Amino acid sequence: MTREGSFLFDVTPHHDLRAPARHRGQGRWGAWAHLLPAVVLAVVVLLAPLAATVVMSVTGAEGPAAYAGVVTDQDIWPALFHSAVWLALALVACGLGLAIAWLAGDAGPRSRMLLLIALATPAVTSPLTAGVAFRLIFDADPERGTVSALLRGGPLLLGPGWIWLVLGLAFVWQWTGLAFVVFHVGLANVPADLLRVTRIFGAGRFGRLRTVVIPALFPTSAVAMLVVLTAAVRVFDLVLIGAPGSVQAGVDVMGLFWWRHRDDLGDGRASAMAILLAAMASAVVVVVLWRLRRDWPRARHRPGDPAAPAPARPRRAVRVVTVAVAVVWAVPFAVLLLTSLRDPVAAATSGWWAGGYGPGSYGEAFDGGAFAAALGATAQRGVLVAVLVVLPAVPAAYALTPDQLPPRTRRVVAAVAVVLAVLPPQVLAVPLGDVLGAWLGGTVILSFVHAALVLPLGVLLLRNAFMSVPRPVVLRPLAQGRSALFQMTVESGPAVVTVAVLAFVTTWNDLVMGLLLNWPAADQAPLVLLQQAREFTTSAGVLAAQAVVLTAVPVLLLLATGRWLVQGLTRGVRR
Amino acid sequence: MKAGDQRRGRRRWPAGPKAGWPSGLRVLLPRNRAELLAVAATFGPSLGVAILADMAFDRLLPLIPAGLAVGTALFLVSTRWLRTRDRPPPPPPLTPERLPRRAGPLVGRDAAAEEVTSRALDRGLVVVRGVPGIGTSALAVEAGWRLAPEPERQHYVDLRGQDRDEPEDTASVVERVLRALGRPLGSIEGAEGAAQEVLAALRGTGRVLLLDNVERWSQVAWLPRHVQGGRVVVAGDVKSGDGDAVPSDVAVVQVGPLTAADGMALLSSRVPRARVEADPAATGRLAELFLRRPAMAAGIARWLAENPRVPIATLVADLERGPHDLTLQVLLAAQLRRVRPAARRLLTLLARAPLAELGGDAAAALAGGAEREVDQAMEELSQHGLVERVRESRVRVVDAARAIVPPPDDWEAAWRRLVERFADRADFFAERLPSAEARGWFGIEDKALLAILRTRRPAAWAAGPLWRIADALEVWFLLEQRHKERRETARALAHAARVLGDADVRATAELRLCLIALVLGEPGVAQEHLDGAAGLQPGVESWPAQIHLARAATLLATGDEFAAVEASLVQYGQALAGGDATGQATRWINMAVLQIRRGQASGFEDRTDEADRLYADALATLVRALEFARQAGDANAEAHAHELLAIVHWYLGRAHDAMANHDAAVRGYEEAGDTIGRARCQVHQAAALPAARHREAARLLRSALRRLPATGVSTALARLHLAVAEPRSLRAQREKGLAALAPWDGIAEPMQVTEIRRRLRDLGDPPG
Repeated sequence: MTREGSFLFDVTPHHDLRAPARHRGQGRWGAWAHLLPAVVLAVVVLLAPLAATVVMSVTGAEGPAAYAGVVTDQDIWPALFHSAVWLALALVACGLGLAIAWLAGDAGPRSRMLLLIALATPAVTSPLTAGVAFRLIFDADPERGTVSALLRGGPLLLGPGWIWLVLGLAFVWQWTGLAFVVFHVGLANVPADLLRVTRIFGAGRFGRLRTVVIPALFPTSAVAMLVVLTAAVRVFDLVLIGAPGSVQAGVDVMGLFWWRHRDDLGDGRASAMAILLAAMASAVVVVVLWRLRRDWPRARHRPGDPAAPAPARPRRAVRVVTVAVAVVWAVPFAVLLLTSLRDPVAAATSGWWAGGYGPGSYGEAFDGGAFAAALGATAQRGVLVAVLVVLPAVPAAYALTPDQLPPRTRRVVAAVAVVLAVLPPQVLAVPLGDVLGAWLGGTVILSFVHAALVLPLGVLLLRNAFMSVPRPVVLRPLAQGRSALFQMTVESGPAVVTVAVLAFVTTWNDLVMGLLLNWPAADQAPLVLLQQAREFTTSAGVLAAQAVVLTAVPVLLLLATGRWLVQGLTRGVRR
Repeated sequence: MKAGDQRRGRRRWPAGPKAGWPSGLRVLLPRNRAELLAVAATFGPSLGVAILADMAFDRLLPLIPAGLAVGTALFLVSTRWLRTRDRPPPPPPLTPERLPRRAGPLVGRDAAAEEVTSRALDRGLVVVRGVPGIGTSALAVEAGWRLAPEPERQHYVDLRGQDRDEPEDTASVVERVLRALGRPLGSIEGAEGAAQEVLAALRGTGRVLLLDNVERWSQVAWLPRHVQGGRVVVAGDVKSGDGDAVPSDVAVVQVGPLTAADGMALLSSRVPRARVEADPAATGRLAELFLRRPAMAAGIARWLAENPRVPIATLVADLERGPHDLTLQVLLAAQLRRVRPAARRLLTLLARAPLAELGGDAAAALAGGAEREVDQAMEELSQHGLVERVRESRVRVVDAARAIVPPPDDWEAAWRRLVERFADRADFFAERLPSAEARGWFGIEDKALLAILRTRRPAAWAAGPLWRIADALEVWFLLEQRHKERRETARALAHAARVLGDADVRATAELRLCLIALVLGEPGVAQEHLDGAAGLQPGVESWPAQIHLARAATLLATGDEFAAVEASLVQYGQALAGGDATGQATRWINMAVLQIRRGQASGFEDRTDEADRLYADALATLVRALEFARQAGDANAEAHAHELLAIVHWYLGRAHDAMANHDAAVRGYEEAGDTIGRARCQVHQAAALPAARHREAARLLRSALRRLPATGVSTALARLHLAVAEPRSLRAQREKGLAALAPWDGIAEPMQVTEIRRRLRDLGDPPG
């Protein structure tokens, strides 16, 4: 090829003539139509009963003074205080999750994976299972309890006072993993240049943590804190199972107290108590999330951004610590599994280290078929709830994306969703029971109630995911006359899966709603477990077997969809 | 530069991917409020019954799946019914436009008709000139029938456009004439090419082409003056202005007023003889004053027929009292009083509409009534001479009638209905291009759509319909390779978006203008529009993918900043949705373009090894691009990939592979209807031919130059190669080649442009 021949041909670019940057939008009416199914469900199942409870609280025998009565009642005040303690424990769980995520940043990929599995698994287990496992571990009898056997002659850990340690550990064990997963991804997206700048200016490790990392994680924190705070507000089964009956009064929470004494309290005080619990939870959530709105440069990860350089820290030591944490986190499962593999008599009389292994506990667990039937019914209900949550949540989340509803309306709706996400079921139980009566126990109606309780969180998760879809990707289908909703849903597939799994697992593990609305029907697996737990010590083996089976399904689901769950939880916050 | 192919319709730009099950599911999704209501109406009761049954019998399965299945089936049935009901009426069949029916024996025009016929036979082109209402069209039609009695040898074009105040411009006339003759439109540059097409269509065929309602000579000056074995008749006012006179070598037959006797004869042919002879004096006066123009005579005859009791003398007295130049209005006003209210209302709306001509479907939307009722109203108006039937189902309000109708009360609502109807139809037919049905509809309505888009002050509600109309026109004009109309459409869109404050749509319009400018070889203009589009976006992160790509293309057109081009292409790729095969094909093709351009620059700077390496890389890139293009079903992208593969193979010395890819590119461009791409391939082929085959090269280049825009690198290269292949035209080719590079004067230019300019300037004068 000669020099003269170089420019012999005109090489022209290829144009993309598809109409690009045009957004027709749905108009406000279209956006409200997308929101309508979720609004209807929320109004019928959540807001209307909430309003009814509020009315009941001020029109009861004491009138508005019922609130004062609740706060000053010597029996209720401790439960109120205990509920506040649980909310503080939620913050501890989040803080611990952040610390472990920070630590794991320097561990190798295998150690990180091990840690991820070990920490994330408890998040999908039932609080009932956590209560059973920790009660087995901290059994006061040194012949049975692992810790008691190690501390021969030590404190009565399931006794008054120390029971808080056990329950706190169980709660933290269960929820730290979720915070860890979210913060682990968030930390990977902290801009390296910010860290570099602070290092240059002489900030130490904790200085960087305080001034750069924690503020940069604010958006990430919102999701984790909302879920954990919701769990803290709704704590019920962990206390019911984890604390022996003799010390229950010392650790009673508002929800549990309400369930036990609602008939004694009367409509007014019972309603006031439920509203106070809801108000307390809403206040904490709003304050925490308001704090998270403080402006800070968003941790925007750009492709090609260099990863933050690792500070000087001995990797081997970190790896060892990481593995140790994973092992410690796996202990409750191990104890549960080992106990379940022992004969019922052996499990009732001695600890897991004493032998006596056999399938007897499982045999007894499934004896009669009630448990198996309950598992089947619970699974069906879980699937139905997952569908009932996803179907309205997707269009509702779409309506909360930019260019749909006005910004102020979006903020109001999102705030309402946040408040509804932490609504305790006690607020709904009485009005729903009054209206629906016997129908409330039906599978479909109960499924709608479950779905309504999970819906606000699902909408918020999906909204985060939808808003992180690049705008040009969304505008493409609009310009071609297709619905952006479909495209957004496809792009946010992991988030949709996360919401469906969240709905299924919540239903699968639910005890509270079943107890409040469907008792004494025995077609829910956790309720079967609860009945078994009445004689905890003698039925430890059977209880453990049932708890293992109950845990197996969500754990298998977690392992099957783990990568998508991580993406779904974090995608909306990886701006 | 290349334009895209809209072969498979707008909804799948440029072509639908092989449809998988998600696409099938999308078709089922509800598209509008009616279908959403259908979802609620079908699923609600079905699921409700299932839930109630579940609660009664406490069974979860299979009642709910059964309810869902019943609901789904009901929804599909209802959707099908809704979509079938909403289907627009088919446009009139694409039969070539034949001469209108003869107006019966022409009174007093025999001699004129004979003169027109003989001049047409003698000279090939004849102009029949007369003021409106004098019977010019009727005379021309009569002559046309005499020249070609068989309808299949007739071609008729009514040059009246949608704008009552402005005559159709020459480009529009060319388009309509070529469409009437069934010739390809494509990117025909200049009148010469169009005249050649007319000659090719009429020569030796004995066909007659009648252009009616010509207002200015400049509209038809491009026609060939003499067509051997064919006839062209131009009829109308044919006004001559400064520099617009009918040349002396063109035969002109002037049509004057009728004599009084002929006027009387015309009246007698429509009114009973007894009435005409009842008052000879009055009739004589009537004939003398008012029957000299056939249109007036017809109006008077109609009035007399509808008012049998009124003596002619009374009519004459009434007409004499009023201004004589408004006689027709007076008559029509009388007709209007006899018309039913629905028809009268329709007339007021038609007269007010900014579109001079409307079809039945559009008129029904305007009136807000059923099409059958509107059709009856139009027929009634036609019988009273208030509207004129054009083609089968279209009407135009008679000019005189427009002056007498009051403004309508409900104009805003009517206009809104009309605009939304046009937007719906545009959507519907744009999806179906390039089917004959869709082509026929757009061929008739594209001017109306453009007129609507050009509304000076659109209302806020018009935003959605206008954007849809603009999209549909973009698809249509792109299919027809009518880039000037694309530009007009984009300009109108930009104006409307500016008025309505829609920055996104303005950005779209600016982007389209940028791409059109690149196609037409105007890099400076392209840069301005790109800056305009980019300036309307809040930040680079929010740029849609296409702006990044347009930036890359503009950078390539205005220089050799390859690094910046690469960065833009990377951003384009990042903004693509997952699974966007069309976008990926585009991305990889442009990556190859970058590599080839780099190779060309390296080769020019004697870095041969680097150039060869870049060409080899481009080869691999293009193979990938081809895969994506096939996956997307994008014929145009495939053709472009083959074109570039041919170039690369040629650079790498593989003539056989180059030829094979060249042939594939040509086939692809022909299939896609991309005339510019096809022309570019001809230029490539000519450039690759050895010097000994200069005649063949010259033929290819001349053929290509008919389809290339006036400016641009391809055009300049074609001129350069033609100057070498045909030394006798060297000077002309040099001047035109330099003119083709004029858009780069004063702005940054790529090395290739500089080198072409240098070589053009260095071309020696031919010997002698």
